[in-house]
Amino acid sequence: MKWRLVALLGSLVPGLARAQDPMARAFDLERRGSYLQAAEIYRTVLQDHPAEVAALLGLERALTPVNRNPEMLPAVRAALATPQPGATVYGIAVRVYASANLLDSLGTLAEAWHRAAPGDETPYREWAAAALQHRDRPMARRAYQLGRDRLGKPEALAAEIAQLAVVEEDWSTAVREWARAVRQLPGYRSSAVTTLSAAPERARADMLSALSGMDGIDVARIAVDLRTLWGDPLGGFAALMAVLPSAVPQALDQLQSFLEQVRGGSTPPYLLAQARTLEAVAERWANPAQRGRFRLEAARAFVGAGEPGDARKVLAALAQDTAGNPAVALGATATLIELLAQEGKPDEAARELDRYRATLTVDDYQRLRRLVALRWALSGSGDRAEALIAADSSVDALELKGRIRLYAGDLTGTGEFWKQAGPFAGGRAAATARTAILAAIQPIEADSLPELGAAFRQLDLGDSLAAARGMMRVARTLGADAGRPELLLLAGRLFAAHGARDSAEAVLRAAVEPEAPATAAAALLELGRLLLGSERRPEAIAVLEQMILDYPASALLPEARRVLDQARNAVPRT
Amino acid sequence: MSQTGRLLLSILAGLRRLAWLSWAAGLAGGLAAIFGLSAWAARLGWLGQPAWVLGTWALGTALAAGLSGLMWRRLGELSPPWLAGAIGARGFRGGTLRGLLGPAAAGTSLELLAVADLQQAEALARSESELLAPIRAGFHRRALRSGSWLIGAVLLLISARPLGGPPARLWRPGEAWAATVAPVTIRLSATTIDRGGSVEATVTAAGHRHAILWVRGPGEPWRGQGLGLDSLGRATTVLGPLENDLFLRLTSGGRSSDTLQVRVRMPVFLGSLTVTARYPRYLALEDEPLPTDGDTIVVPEGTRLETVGEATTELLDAAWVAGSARIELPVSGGRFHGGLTPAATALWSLALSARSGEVLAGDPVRLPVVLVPDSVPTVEVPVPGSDAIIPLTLRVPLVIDAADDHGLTRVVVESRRISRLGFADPPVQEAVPLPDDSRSRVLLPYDLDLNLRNLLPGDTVRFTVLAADNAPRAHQSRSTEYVLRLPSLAEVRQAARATSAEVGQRLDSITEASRRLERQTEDLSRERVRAGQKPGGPDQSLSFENAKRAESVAEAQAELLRQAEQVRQTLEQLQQSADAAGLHDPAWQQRLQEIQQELARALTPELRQRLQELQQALQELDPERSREALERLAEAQARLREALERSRELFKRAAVEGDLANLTAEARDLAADQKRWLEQLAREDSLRAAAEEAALGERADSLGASLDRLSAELESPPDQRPRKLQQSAERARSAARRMQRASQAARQGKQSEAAREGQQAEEQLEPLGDELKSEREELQQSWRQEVMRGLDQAMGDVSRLAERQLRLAETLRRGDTSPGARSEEGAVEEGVERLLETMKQLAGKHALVSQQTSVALAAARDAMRQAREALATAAPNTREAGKQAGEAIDALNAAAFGLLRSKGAVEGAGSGSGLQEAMEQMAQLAQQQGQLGQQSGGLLPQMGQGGPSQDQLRALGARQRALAEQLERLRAGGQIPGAADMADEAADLARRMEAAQLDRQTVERQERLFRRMLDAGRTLQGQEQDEQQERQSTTAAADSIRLPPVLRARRDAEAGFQLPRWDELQALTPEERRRVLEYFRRLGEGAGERNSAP
Repeated sequence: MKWRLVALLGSLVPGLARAQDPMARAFDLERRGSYLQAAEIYRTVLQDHPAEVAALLGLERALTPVNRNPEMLPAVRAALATPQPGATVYGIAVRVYASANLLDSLGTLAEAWHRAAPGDETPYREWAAAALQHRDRPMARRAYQLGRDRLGKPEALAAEIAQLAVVEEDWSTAVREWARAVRQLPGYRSSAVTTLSAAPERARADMLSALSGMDGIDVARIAVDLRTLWGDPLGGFAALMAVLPSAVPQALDQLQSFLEQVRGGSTPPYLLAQARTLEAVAERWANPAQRGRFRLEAARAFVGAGEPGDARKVLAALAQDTAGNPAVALGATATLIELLAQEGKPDEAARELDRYRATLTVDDYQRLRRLVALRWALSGSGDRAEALIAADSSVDALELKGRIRLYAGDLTGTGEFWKQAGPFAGGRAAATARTAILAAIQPIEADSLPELGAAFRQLDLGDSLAAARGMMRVARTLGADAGRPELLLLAGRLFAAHGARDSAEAVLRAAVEPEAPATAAAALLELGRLLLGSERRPEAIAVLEQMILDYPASALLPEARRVLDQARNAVPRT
Repeated sequence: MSQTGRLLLSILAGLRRLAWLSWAAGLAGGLAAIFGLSAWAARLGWLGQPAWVLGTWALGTALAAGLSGLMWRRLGELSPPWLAGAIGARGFRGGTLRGLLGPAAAGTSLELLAVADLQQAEALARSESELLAPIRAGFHRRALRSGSWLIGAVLLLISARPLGGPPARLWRPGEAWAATVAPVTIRLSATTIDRGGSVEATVTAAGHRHAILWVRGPGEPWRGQGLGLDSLGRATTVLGPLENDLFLRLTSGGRSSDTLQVRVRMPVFLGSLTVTARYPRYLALEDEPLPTDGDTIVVPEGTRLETVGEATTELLDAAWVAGSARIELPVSGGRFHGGLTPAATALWSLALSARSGEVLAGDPVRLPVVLVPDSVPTVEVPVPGSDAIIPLTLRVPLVIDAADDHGLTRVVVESRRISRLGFADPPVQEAVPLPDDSRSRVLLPYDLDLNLRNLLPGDTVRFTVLAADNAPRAHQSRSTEYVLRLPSLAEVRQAARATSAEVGQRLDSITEASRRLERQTEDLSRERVRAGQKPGGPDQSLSFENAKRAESVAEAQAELLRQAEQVRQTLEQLQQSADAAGLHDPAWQQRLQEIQQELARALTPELRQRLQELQQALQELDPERSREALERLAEAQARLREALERSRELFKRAAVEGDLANLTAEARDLAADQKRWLEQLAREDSLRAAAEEAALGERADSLGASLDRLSAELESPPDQRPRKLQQSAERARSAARRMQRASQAARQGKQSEAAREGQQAEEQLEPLGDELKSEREELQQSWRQEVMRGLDQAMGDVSRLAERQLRLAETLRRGDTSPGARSEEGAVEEGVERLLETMKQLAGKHALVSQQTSVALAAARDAMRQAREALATAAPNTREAGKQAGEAIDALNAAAFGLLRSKGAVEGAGSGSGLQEAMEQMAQLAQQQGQLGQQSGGLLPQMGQGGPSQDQLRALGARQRALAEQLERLRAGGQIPGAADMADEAADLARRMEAAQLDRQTVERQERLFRRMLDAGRTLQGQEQDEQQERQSTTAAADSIRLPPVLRARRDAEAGFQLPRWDELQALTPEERRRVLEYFRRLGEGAGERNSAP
């Protein structure tokens, strides 16, 4: 019984103490959402202790949700009147003055703060932040500049000034200040890259030039990252190699970081950049096994990038590293077969594949078999290709079977196989491309169009111009509601991608047919982009406006509006 | 006596007179003072009782006596010796006078004595004046004082005016004495009175001004009543009216009167009377006491009135009397009792005679009895309420309204078929089961099933309803006879078209209502967010107005659900009617079924649950929960609205298709009838033939009008078909005109002209059916083409958006978080949103446009939004953005493939959702996985003992890989959630086994995969079965229960188990519903088997 009593008293004592502590009570009230009551208690505390930081902060917390921060002014003034108020009090004061729209007083306050804490950037940062909150950029700039002058450090507040410059689209200042900031604190690099990457194309060259004239690996990495982001990974790789430290660990660190960045892309330049980076990484590894793995990966990337020569070179170098590493040797074999197939030697590749069948993993074997089949199909031996993968029931095989049928012009068969393969076979890029082809051939009523199949084959062989022409020829034979606009749109895009702007324009204009409104809208959008790329802005604007007016229900309308804004140089900076 | 003595005596005589006067005046003054004081006291009211008179007199007497005695003694003291002594005291002769007054001492000379005496006398006489002056002065003063005293007292007395007023009593001591000794009395005017009478009491308390009259009834305590008495001590008061005996007594001044009793005579009257109605037993009514205050009593025929009464006196006889009728009631003392069974409406009076001959007081007891005879039951049939058309199901829903004043025992529907030729079948009687509870009035729904009556179009069925009551001699009545006619196929088709139009209108109406309601709910939920305080804010109460508005939303939602359910049922009726009309078009029927399914999906239990949540939150006046419930309800409403819109759009086309099919059949029938008419023209009576042809003409005209209407409805699409329909309509109207001419010709007896016109009409009608069929097929094809073109276009857009999204995803993966990337993502997202709208329109045009596409597009949109949000933060999360952007690509590609499948389904090349196939395949794959797991488990023990051969493991791995590929293909189909993960797992397992890595972990993973696959299969199965149940459950309609005949008979006979109704099942989950229904089915099967067993 006694111990129960003790326990009860023990449980009550903290509660009583808590009930008596006004700060704790105010905090409880605040937590329960009774902000005004909490604020009253904080005010009571501040009457006795004006510089009580916890109470000031509590008062600010309590008044902020109810949007009554200006009511803190008397308390803040009282706190400032105390001797040596402290940085926190100044910080609160700046916020409260800003909320009360007393921007004129912020300078004085910041100066006082600066006197209390000389050498601290915070007063000017807070002042500028308050000014920016009220969209007063000149005041913010003045605050930063004054801060820099008062502190006597040219690199002070560089990141803030750089962000302000980005907002004001003063790209040269932004580059200069970011460089200063990154030199001071390398961690700023990602922020610098993110903000600078928004620069318009016309300013990019100057920015890169400015960056190249600056010292420091971290500054140079900004340039590397920006190049990569702006679609020039090889330029980025070159820039990186130019500034790569000689010390291996640092160099490897930089290379790995760049590799991660370029892995995001799947287009040939990115694959090539990946390959070269992997090669560079491999060269810096002393461990043969590890080096072999990187080289193998580099070789695969070269193959993927369509650079068989480089791939062979890497594979040759790899031969030195494979001793004692069967996995790498196996990978090299598979890559070699892949290379053979890509070089247009499917028969040879098939033989090698057959020879190494027992050693290859099932996954690799099936993948290479499909690759060989694809190459046969591309070379016009569709039957052999089909026979090779006849027993393969995987979705990738189904996808390939559909593609073989496509090359043969069997549109129905293509649709059927691809329907079975589903939307996920072969990765996202392949699936999206497949979807595009399916969308193009669906309206065609004919079951078989060998010429169209040939055009697609040429497209996959890389001859997009011939493919586009083939598609145009086929399109002429089709009706407006039977696939003609879709094939014309596809051809127009191929022409545009190939740089044949006139042909592209003509074909895209021809694709605008009322029987296929969605295709017509897409064609107009492509045309608008094409004209914009040719700096024919008025025409682009007219075309895009036509698209918006004629096809208000199109799914591409938002994109068209965006491009139209670009054409009018009015891209919203959201 | 000596000289001196004589002299002294003479002197004393004078003094004595003075002394007497003094005493007399003092006495008189004393008496006057006493009387005067008493008189004043009486006048001032200090003395109220007569005793004061006696007291005064007593005091006066005592004073007089006392003073007289004193005076006597004092006067007696005035003697010669006293005087001699007094004189001597003044020094006269040294006191020698005293010696001369007594007898001489022995030896004394008498002469000397005489001389001395003489001398002394002379001396005294000489100095008498000198000696006696002071003594006389004393006497004189006393006399004067007494005189003054007397005068004062007399003045006191006189001032009290003793001769008038209360002081006057002073002079009547006799009366005072009498008053003092007189008794306190009450005198009553009567000692026995009638009840309610009064009695006058005269009270006397002589000499008193107040008295208390005490009264009490028998058994009661005394109650005092103060009475003011007059000067004679009398007062009179009236007591009453008295209901009971009264006892009285009077007290005053400590004296009390005798107790008197006033007796109250009780009247002779009827003390109690109870009349109890004992109703006839068949009425099953409880006995009931009846009022006897003269109110009219309405009793059913056969009611016995039991009478029990008692009078306050002994009775001689008692009887109920009505006119000449007299019903004696046996008497015992003052009591009487007996029964009366009225045979007619009459005014009965209770006649009582007292043995004493007294007349009983009080009003006479009258019993106006109105006798209500048991009426004949009434029976009506409000539904159909008039002659009607027999519905296509040949089941006529009747509502029988039967009533009887006391109860019904039997309701029978009597019907008979009358053929077109006038032959009548014998009547068939079908008993309608009556409810157990109330039978005085019943509304009985009844399905008159005419399926076994061999009805032919044109036949009629006459029916009437008989009702019998529960009287001992049952009364029976019969309703109006109604005629039901089996419609012709033409009428059936017309009815189907009307139903179709009605469904269309109702769908329009509820879709609009749903839209309004959704908007209202959204507004309300948002308004509450805007207007409401922050959570935890000071004002947390739910305002009355908001609560009322939310309640109104909930009510409207419930009503909307009810209407949607009705529409769903009407659709089913339409399907049945179309079937009955011979429109056996499976595609069209399938379409109607799809719409029904769409509606069934719309009416999800989730929506009802949301509604229930709202109602509960409102009951608890919880603002936060109400807001959340409103938001959730708005979401569910949006889904309902979309489903309703889709149903409405689907139905528009289905209705046109149905109408066209309907009119095609009608055109063909019309042509056939016209041909028949032509064949029979020569043989038939001309007037009859004219009438028949006129009727056919009307049908043809109606056909033309219907085609015109349909053409007008189809005018919106800009194609040629409406014109063709108009041509068909014109052809029908032309045929109608010719038929009318043929009819006229036939009526005029111009047979050849009639035949010619009829022939031409027939020629015009003949190709109409084929034309309309072709129209319909072309229309269907055109619609299909339109939908397919729409799907193609949508697919194009999806592919373009997917390409854009792919590029964007790559940009994001490279770490681009610029505003441009965000805005581009926003543009793509908005494009997807527009595509969703497009899909909604397409889905409204064809039922086979899969909803999976919309689901995938919505998933893509959501992923894009998440990608944007990941970028929009202060520290953009590029990894998450890239991931979401990638998932959006997958979803878009899935949507494209969904479109591809939809196109196949619309084209007729696909099998719809393919869910069934996927389900079966998953079940098979699960079996295979189970076997694989078992085989792997079997090989596991051998692994440490040389192990199984590589080939064995590779073979197993190959099977596992094949299974993985199958799973991958299922994933491609998009119907199996989680198929991708299962495929990946299966592929990984295959890789391990191909690499001869078989261990316990691998086997366990196989087991887990097997279970997952089983679960996936079961989930699918559950969903599918549930959907079937939703379609089957046409809620609570008894005819929806499909039971074997044997079981049905048993059910009907025993009214035993029945399948639970939908409203009972809807609270359960789909799986629970399935189990419950399965249980009942098995129960039914079991019962059926038992029933059929010998």
